[in-house]
Amino acid sequence: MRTALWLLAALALAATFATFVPQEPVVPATVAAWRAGTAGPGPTATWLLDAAGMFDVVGSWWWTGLLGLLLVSLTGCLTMRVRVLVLAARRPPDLLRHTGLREHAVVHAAAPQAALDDAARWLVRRRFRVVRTGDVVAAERGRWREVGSIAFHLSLYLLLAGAVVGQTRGFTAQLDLAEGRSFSETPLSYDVLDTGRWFDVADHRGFLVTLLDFALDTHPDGTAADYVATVAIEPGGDGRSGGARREEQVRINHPVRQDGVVLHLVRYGVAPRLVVRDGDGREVFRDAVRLRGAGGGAWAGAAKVRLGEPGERSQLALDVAVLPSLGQDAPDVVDPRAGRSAALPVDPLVVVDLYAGDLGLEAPRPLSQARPGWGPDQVVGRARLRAGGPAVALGPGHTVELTGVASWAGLQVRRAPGLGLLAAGGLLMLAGLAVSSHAYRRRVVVRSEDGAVVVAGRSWQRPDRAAVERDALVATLVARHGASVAPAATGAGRSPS
Amino acid sequence: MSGLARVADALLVATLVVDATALVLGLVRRRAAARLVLLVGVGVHAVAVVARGVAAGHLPWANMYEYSSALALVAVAVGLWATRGTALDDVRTATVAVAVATLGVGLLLAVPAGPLVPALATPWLAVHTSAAIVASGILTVGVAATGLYLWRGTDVLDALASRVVTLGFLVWTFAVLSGAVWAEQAWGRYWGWDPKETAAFVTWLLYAAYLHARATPRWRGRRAAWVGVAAYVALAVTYYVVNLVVVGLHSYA
Repeated sequence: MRTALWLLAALALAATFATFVPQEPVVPATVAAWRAGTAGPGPTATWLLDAAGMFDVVGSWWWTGLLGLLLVSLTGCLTMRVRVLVLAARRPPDLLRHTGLREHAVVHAAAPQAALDDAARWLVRRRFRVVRTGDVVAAERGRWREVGSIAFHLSLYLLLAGAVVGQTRGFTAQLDLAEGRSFSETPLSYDVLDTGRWFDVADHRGFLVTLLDFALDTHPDGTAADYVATVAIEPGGDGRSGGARREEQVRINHPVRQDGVVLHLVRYGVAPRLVVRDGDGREVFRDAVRLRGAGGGAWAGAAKVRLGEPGERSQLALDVAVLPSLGQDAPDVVDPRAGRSAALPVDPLVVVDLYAGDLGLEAPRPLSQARPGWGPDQVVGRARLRAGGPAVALGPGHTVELTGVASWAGLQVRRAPGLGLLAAGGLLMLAGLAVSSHAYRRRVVVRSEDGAVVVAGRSWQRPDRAAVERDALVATLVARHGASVAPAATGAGRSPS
Repeated sequence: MSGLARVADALLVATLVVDATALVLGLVRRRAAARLVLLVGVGVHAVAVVARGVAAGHLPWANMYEYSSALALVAVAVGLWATRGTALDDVRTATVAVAVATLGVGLLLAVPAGPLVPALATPWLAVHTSAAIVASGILTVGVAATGLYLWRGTDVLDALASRVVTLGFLVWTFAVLSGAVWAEQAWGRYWGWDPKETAAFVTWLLYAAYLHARATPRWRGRRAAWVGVAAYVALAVTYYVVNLVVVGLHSYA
């Protein structure tokens, strides 16, 4: 038990670090800023934290080690307790062999045997396990406390198993869709995909999802009332899933399920529809460019236009921004899950920069990560656009046109096996805790001795409550048998036997 | 702001005055008077919470102002209940001291009654957040008893602390687990080591350590009580520091 205590304290300390030091899997941008020195406690402290693995506490070897030690300690302790419990269930302990009893009261009853009978009945009614011999009634109650406590500790294994199954067999992917765009959902077609070690593609049926509409409803005061991504889902082509095309609304707190995967709305933004043409009037780009909230009501994003031949160094890309309207207020990070929203701009001014040269576009990375290498000398043209306006020159040789402004929705696609195990573990934990908080183990022994009835007892928990209970028994005996009562001698630990 | 919201704010200030009066009466050992004044405080406070809920159009625990108010109410009510028929008036007084501080901080964080953000507009607000409030209120009475036990050393205080914290730990466990269910539905993951989740886990671990320490021979008594105090500090950090200093998915206030 003392080992468990220290391990719990160590785990709590480690988790305290994880609370206050930004965690890379949770907020990678903040960790990057700490490492770059633009935020955080400075280079030395950051280096020390990094060396100790503090930027990913739950992914560190010492966290796993602590959990492992706790598990070993728990398993050792529980094995012993379960064995004792099973033995006690098979062969209940002999209540007549008692130790540690304290005398509670001596009742001078006219008919001690009748008083013992009444005591036995009283205890049975109170759901004590009662043993009666000639001049002794011995009773015990509260064994359920141990059962509850063991159930609580066993639930930890279920929770752990559920978490491991989810980690190793599940997958989580991100899917950003502009209005009108479709995505053929298979594990192989995502940009960002995180699969468990034993994730099996065969478990996955795939489907086609189309974003029909994204709407941000607001209250009269301008705050967000609801985010609604209306999608069409068509089951996969393998013929197993069946079912026809259906329309669903994905909202915060309202995920949509399809073939064992769940779609959650996690992001949204504005997506200007741009058409870029070259000097010969040929269309080189036509797409809705997804922009992310960039703070203060501004939106920013980028798109690849031309990858170019290997080594040719003539790549083309767009950097697109929507400037905020006057008086707009929005958080730096738009996150509808945390209630941080920014209004979608109406008839925005869209600024487009055309970049040319060696832009690193061939790397299979999202543009948000490739962009930092681009320099101002690579900008070959800039245009300011409003929807419905004419095509505008974008540097020498290109034109750009804003044909409309759409919205986009970011969906998380997730398959999470193991939730059943977790639910079972949670319920077992609560049930075990409820039982072990309520029940408490105690014994009551009533014996006739020299014409008097002696009430004695022992409690393992909650001695105050057990004493009140014995008082009630004594009061009943006195009332029934018209006898006088003497409080027990206060000699602690005196045994009646 | 609607008139009703104004009334709710005024009643909350009145509650602060009444509770502070009860605190002073408790400190000068006017036990019966303190208890009576506190009952009045609970009544006024309950009306304030209901008025705020009606004005806002939802359960009034969607930001730190509303949450602090509900937490203080639960703490005082549990304090009254746990000390009824006992001579442990000081536990009640200590609870009122923490509740008055909570209410005071809450009033500093006052915001107008407004609609819920979509993430909170679900019945899980009633389940998870209510459980967190009730657990925090119960554990506030627990730390009052634990602190007094460290001061006075009487076993009856330790017994009360144990009983109250055992119940508080059960409700806190439910709050964390129901939070995981809600997170699975709203955020698409049941546990993501968001700062609030991590801090709530630290609190849970330390209360588990307290209950273990009470059953460990060389730890029961004062050492266990110090673990209990540390656990309550973790609870306070989970609420105040994580909400006000750290940015996470729970930053609604």
